[in-house]
Amino acid sequence: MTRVWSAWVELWDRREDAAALAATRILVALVVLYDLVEIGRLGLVNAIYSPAPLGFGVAYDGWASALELSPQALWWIAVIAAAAIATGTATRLACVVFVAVSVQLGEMSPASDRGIDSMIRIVLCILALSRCHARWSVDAWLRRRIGRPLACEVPAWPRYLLLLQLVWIYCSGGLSKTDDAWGPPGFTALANVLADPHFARFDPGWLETALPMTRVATAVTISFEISAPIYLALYYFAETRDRPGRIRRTCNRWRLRHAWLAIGILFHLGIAIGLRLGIFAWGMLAMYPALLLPSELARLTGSRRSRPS
Amino acid sequence: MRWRHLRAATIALAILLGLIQGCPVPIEPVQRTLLAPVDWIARGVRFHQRWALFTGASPDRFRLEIHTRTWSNTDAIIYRAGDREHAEYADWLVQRHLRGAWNPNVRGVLPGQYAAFTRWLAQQIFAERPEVGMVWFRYERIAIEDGVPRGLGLYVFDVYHHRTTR
Repeated sequence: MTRVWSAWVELWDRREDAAALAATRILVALVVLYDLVEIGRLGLVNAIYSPAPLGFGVAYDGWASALELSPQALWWIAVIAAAAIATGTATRLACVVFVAVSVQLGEMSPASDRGIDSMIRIVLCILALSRCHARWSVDAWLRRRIGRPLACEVPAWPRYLLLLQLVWIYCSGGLSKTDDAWGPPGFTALANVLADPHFARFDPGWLETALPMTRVATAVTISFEISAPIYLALYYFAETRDRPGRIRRTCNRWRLRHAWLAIGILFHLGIAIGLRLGIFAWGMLAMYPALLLPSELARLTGSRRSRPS
Repeated sequence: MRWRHLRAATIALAILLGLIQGCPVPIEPVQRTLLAPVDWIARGVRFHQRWALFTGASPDRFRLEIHTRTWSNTDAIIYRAGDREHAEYADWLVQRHLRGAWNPNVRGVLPGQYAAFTRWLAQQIFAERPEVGMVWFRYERIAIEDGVPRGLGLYVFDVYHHRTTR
């Protein structure tokens, strides 16, 4: 038991390059910014968040109403906070402010507060506790200027939490798919969803010829989601590839982890292309840097620090 | 040194509580009891660990229609979901935040803000179209067969809004 506990403590004490956290920070913030700007562009801020007669929001007495902040003001604060997160400016404060405003907006229009919004709040809470601003940020630049640079090697535990969160989202999503359409013999779920006029981007005529492909895609999707925890094992095998073991060797030789990542990326790109779901697919993909080994991200970014310490 | 152990223990507890909250097995009384001391965190940040995406993918679905009637009793469909020929306000209606207020859930239940949403949209239509005296919203029940949605000719959830002053 002591050995298990020691290993557990060691795991969460690791340090690694900040690139993965920084990449996740930037991508998530850009997705959020896009979403906010779209609401503003369509002139829907008051519609969504104000109660009647200006909109269809619910009357809510929170800190925003105590400070007499209008929905428009809250929207601007969210935009500024998202931009600050993306640029890594006063990053931790910006994350906290965004989460607080997002919660407020969610209370003002609960029906408009979707699962992806909930996920983004969780991610930003984790990022607020991390050193995601150690790289590619105004914060890091300022610290270098004053001669107190931020260490590029940061605690790895926030990234591990993001990884676990993403795996759980998939697994939970898969386990909750109890509709018959997700299983045999038909595997018709994706065809039904792609043909739903409330979500479909294209006229469903193409589905008649693509039906066999959608059945395969349905089976792959449900399998991918329910088996998501396997990624943790694949990640561990990749990280410890120098150790012996036939299963480890097989998983690494056949690049099963990369195959899993590819399925995930294709899954979300398919959703983004075939359905009008807003930022859902992009928000999920924004978390994918957290799934990569530090060495992989280091290769992509040209960093010399690659192994966790 | 103690900080490392405290952090590891806190993370273990957070993961355990998350798994309890997200447990797919219906153990609500147990969940409520175990999560009671920390429920304020989930409520405060508005998050949960039970995730759903297209849990209901049945072929039985709905299609939103928005109709107008002018003072001369001329009816028109101005919006039908998925219909390019009747796509007014489509930019608004397909926006994910707005759609959350009108799209029925997997059990065919309308969102709590639906009535307020129809009132608001009706007011926008009245403001832009002085000739319109009534706006009504309804859903056609559809069935998706082999990837093709077919209307069943059955309409539900009718909501009418009349202009109060001419």
